[in-house]
Amino acid sequence: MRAQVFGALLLASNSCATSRQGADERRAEARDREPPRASETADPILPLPHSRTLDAGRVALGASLFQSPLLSGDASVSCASCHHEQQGWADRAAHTQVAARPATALNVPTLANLQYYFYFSWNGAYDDLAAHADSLLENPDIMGTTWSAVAARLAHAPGWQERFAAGFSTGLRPENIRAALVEYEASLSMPDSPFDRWLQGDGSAISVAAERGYRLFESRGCVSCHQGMLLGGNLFQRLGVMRDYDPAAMAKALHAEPAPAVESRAELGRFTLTGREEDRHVFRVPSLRNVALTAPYLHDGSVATLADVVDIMAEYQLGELLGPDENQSIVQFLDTLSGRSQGAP
Amino acid sequence: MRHGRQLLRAALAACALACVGGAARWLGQSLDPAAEAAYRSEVRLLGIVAAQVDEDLLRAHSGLVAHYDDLARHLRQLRRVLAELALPPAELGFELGLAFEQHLGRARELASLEQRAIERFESDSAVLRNSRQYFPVLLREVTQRMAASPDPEFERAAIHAFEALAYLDVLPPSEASGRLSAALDELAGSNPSTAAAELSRRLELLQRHGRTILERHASVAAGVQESMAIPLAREALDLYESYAARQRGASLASRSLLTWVAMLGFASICLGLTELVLRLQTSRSALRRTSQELERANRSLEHERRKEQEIGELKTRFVSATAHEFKNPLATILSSSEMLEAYAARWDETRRALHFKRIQSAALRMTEMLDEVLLIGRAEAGVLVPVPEELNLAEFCASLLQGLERSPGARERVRLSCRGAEWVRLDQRLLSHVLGNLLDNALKYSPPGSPVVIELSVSESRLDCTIEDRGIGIPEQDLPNLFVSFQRASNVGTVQGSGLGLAVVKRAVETQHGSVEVSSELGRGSKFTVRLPLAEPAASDALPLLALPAVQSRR
Repeated sequence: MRAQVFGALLLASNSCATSRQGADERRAEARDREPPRASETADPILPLPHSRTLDAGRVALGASLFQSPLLSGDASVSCASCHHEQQGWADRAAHTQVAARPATALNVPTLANLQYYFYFSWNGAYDDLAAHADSLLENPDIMGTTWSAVAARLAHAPGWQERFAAGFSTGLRPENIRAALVEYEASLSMPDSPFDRWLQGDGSAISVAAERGYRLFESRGCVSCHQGMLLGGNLFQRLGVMRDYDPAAMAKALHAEPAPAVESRAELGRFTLTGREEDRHVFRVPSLRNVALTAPYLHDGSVATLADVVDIMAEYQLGELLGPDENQSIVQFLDTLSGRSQGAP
Repeated sequence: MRHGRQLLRAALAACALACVGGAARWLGQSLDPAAEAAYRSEVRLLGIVAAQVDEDLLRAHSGLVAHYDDLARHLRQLRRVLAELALPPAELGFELGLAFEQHLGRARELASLEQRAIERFESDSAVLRNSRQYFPVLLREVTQRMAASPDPEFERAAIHAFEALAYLDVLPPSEASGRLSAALDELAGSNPSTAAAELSRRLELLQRHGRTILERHASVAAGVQESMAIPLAREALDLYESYAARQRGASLASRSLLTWVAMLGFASICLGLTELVLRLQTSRSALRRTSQELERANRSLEHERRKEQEIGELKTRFVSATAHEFKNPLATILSSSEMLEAYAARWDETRRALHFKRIQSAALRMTEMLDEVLLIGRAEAGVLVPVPEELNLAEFCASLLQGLERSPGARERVRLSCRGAEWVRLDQRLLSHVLGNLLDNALKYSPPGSPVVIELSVSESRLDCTIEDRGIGIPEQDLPNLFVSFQRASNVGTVQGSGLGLAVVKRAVETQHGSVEVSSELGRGSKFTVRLPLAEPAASDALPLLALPAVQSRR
């Protein structure tokens, strides 16, 4: 058993053989999620693995639920109203406004690669996909209903009973609706980006300029927060490390109209959760996977282009001004992070 | 009267039946093995995950990992385990349940404390990494710009800044920050005359990042300290202990129940309820079995708990030892390689060679330490199996002494004598671990020039070996822990060492069923005596090697 302690410490191998049964199961679960270890190097970024095995029936059922307006209280919107596949499972609008609902306080986050996230939503309030789904469904400004109400409604619509009976032994039940949705969300991974292929040894997968951009991304310090499999997503960080975040100054620098202020405490990041002053404007570091597809940027969607947001990040987070060619290289690197949708299984 | 007695009999019978039924139900409740095993594994998992989080944190701090995925995953696991531990099993009873509840509450409190400490660490350390990665880049850039109009003063200042940066994690915080701020001042003061607008902007940035490093470094170190000081893993152990207490309680309760049931059995015999007696007897033997089982489970639980405690202690020692022992060579490698990268072109051959040498010897030191740790680990896991082979003692000794040539003057100090048969049957690798480490220590802990005497004598079935030095000796209070990993005697002073050598010796000797003894006088010297039984010549020369678990190395 001591050998395990040594093993874990020295070799960082989580796959150390273990006699602990409970731990075994958990580790097995964790292992499923881990990227292929062959690529284990000192690289701060890991390639995205291919999706773990999912229940195809439930995924298909979840996909139908995702598109169905029956999931909203007034039967007017579906999940797909805000999360568009073509837009990297996010939305082009800075603040999305659909069907007589108030505009969202924050920019709609992407659903791509959801199964590899540790925290959900901009302030990381949830670390469990099912709990997060609960909160969205019950939020009157989003779906405004409950799982049991949805179940009752689906029971009267044609076809659903049979499909649930095929996917779940217990048939159409509130918790099964959620389970199917979560299963579908787990299927939305987008591996095989050019940069992944490059990480796995295909030297020609990205251009020379993009590679230079990656080196800049590393040497300038971007990578200290945007690291790991998702290039972000596993840390919380303040917006405005080297310079205080000021939306008005930012808009002015971009020669943009100041965004119409959406009155919301959500702008304050984790502060809304903890009430601690040090958490003001602290957000989950967004993943940069598919970042080229998910404009606009920042929590409030106030920055329209990748080039602008790269400059802003350099200035506010790193305290540095990038030359135009450096900016361009980094943008070219970010362009190589767009993966491929895996499509229906 | 007769009617009354019948009524009494009936009442007693009913009472006895009810008691037996109750006992059976009670037992059935306290022994729901599946639920209990699941719960127990959750409690243990808590300890394991808490320890993993500490490890992740330390690795992240020492720069050995490049991303936070593992840390984030383990944190999430920690939260999930705590959530699943929400309810203690119902059959705990009121008092134990209360104690358990208290422990759980405390564990949860600690977890949220740790969570906060980790969040602070993560955010500060990400900023620190920003600046640290950016700092050398900028420095290099500034130096390049300066190259157009060479300025030796500035160049020296830049080198100092580099050095200060490399030693940031090695030196005590106050000294490290003093160095860095001095270097930054020097840098700022060295140059104003040549400052073009662009250059001065760069310099300003450089200083800003330097200041960030200074500001954050202390809080990052404090964050790790804070988090490591939160005894979450220890609390999980306590939880475990209260489980053991619960088991003991259950076995006591079942014993008093036993006597009660026996008395009732007696009463029912008197009343001639033979059928009841039979039933009671069955449940009695079941009870005895159960209480024995409980005692056994209790013992094994206690054993595991002690083991777990040992692991915890070992981990703490390992963690503090690695922090120092692995970081020093790492920092050497980092600083030398950075300097080579920046100045190789301008340096002469000897200066370059010096830095390459430094890198090599640092890497070598780390490799040796890893080897030793792995050997200990394998010995403890029971997969270290000696492979005896015929070996020529004289040749072996010659190669042992040859290994000393790396350190000047060592070879001349060793007086070696061999008696008895020339060929012995022993595991050569283990023998060289044993003698090599003892010889190393003898040389290291005695004054330069003083002799070290090795005597080997081979008898019929045994190799006896003594190694004697006239060095600093070992204080008496340190003798009991002499062979424990990462324990070093209190009088080692500034002599470098990992505290692994003697632990390796002991493991290597014991796997060969030998013994090692020490006698020492403080200030006069130490004498180690090793006795190794010679291996029987095997029928087939090739002993089957136990397969080792595949070991993945991480660059």
